[in-house]
Amino acid sequence: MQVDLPSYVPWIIFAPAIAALIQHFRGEKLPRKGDLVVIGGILVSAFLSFRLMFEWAALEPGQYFEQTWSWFTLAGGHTFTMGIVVDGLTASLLCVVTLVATLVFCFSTAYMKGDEYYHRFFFWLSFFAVSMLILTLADNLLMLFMGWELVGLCSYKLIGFWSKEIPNAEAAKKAFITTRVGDVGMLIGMLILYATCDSLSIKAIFEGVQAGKFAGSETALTWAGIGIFFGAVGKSAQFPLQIWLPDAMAGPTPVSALIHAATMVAAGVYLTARMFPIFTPDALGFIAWTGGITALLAALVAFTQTDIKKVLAYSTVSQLGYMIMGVGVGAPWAGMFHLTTHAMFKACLFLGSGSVIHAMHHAQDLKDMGGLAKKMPITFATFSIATLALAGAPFFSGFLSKDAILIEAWENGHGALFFIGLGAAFGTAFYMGRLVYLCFLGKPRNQEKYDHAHESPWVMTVPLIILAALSLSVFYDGFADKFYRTPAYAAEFPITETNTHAYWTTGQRPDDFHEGHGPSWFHTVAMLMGVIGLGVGGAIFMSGKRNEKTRLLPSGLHDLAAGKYYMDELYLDGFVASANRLADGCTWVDDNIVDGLVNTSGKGGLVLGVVSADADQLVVDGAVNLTAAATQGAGAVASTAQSGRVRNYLAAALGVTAVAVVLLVFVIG
Amino acid sequence: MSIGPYHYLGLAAALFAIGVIGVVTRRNAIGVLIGVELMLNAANINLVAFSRFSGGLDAQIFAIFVIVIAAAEAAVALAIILQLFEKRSDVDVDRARTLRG
Repeated sequence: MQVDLPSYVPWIIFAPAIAALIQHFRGEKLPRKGDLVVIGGILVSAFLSFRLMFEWAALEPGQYFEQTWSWFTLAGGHTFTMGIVVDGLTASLLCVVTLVATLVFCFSTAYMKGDEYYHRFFFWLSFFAVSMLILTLADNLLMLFMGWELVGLCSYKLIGFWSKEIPNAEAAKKAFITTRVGDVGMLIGMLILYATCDSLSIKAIFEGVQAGKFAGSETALTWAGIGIFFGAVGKSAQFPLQIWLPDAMAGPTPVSALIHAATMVAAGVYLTARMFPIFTPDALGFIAWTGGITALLAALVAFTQTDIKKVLAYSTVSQLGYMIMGVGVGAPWAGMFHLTTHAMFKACLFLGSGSVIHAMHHAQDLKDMGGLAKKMPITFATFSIATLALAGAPFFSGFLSKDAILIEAWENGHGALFFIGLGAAFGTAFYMGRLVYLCFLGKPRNQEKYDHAHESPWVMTVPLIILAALSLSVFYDGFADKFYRTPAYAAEFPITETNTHAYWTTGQRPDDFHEGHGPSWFHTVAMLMGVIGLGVGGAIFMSGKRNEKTRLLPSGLHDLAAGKYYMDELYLDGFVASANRLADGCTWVDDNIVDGLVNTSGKGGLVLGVVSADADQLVVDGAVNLTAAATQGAGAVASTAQSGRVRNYLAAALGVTAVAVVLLVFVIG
Repeated sequence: MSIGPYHYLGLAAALFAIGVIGVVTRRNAIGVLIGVELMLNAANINLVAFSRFSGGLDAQIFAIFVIVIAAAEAAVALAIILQLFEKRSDVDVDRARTLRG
């Protein structure tokens, strides 16, 4: 049920927005180039977010905060509203965003120290936080889409932050354009929903779907769902648009942690979970398989990467695939849960890699690493904890959320996806074992860099410790049930006929996933997968014979994965080259046919002008002159009668009178 | 022979014709003016004659009007002729052709 919004909630957005404005206009001149202003803004936002989260948690299950304001009206009386809705999804994502943002901002003060455009970096970070919070709080698709595009813009600016180097600028462009492809799909989905429900408010859309506005045209609803989901495919780097995320690692590492691991890329999952009730069974099947395929393919690529950030990037793609798969198999709560836990441990991993890269003076290839555990104990410890969480080891957060997704897949009859997910889970543990060993254990492979390496300052290690602590499972006991089981509108608009799952109908799943569901061997196997995967991934390097270049996959598969399935080439040779050829063709048509037509018609106009000038002089002027001459002649003739002799006039008058009299008397009379 | 209306009408017609011929043929402006006076008086004779034979006095009153107008006309015409003479030193109407088109 709806409850009035606490009045301070808009300040969650306003605080970082004001900080961003100050930073934009005054940042360079402020002490410390304004980073404290930005951190202050996000701290206010984080404080209010947690306060809001606790206030929400104190409500009855199924209650949520909402407030809408009228925004603008189109001709024809179509009114658009803006509004804020706060339910479990929003509250948890708010806390994740503001918490990770705060830690990343602090981390950045050390990581970006001395950068020429330090103040610009903090402006874009703050602006990103504002955009992400708009996206999170929106209760309608229009406002959400605005935030959605703004985070895309910030992502673009931050990936290309060091755009003096061409590859970075190229990566930024690639990220922007690839996500834009997905956004077109999202826009189409929004338009279908708007055309049918006459509103972009999420509540009104659910209302419309429930009232049967799509009755008889379920295909349209399927396509609307797939369209909306396509936005998530772009933003959350799902197959086949996953190609931009690994390249996005060109940005500074704190950006990768905040935007490309914890928050922005998770927005796609949030959107899919938020819009869950409109997905038809067909659309859900599509979503589930997209997620499953992404999870497996990206995990395989991670085996072949030698750049520490690239490994983590493919891991992120893979984990996002997991979340999407969770939503697709009918358990948005499990997807959202994995989003939350993943945000913590993946931000920790990225910041850890940032710490390593910082220590190695911006070397990020594994060939220069090894044995760093002794030099960087805090980084190593936190990185290891986050790795255990990602691999799904017991007592760590990933264990709860990943298992939840896999069990839901099994429970809802997606056996194939269950095994794909299990395979990807083993792969995840394996490549993380490889990464940790190659980075922190064994012998140093680059003695010079190793000698110069040092532990990072406390502003970098404290965020690592906090995030590592939040990767422990003790914080998440009963978390998913509390936050994700009863999202907003679920009680008002249970949409049963289009749904595979009774979840939204009742707000309660009939059984608890901890209680022996899924196959009986599942927990044992899942636990073993994680632990053995990690162990094997590390142990195979112990002999010292293998290094980061060793091919761990069968040869053909290795080439395929190392080539990223040749999708970049496919897009470049297929779409980009076709577009270029099309453009060349258009240029030819323009130069030869269009210009030819224009020139021909120009020449035709010229000829016509000459002809018509002649016609004007000969015919028109001739006629005018002739008329004038004729008038003149007639005047000359007539003027002879005007002799000036009065007697003549009188004589004429008399003559005429005489004739008239004669006629009167003798002819008529 | 008793005098009847036809005699008057005949006299008036003859007098009118003499006047017209005078106006049309004379080159001297004074002559033209005399012709005009003859024509007016021919009309007067007609009016008086009809009055005599039809019994009313209306026509005689018209005749008196005509005499008055003729006097006024003569005054205006003579003034014009005087002005003409002032300008051109003669009163030949054929040479006063300023109105020729």
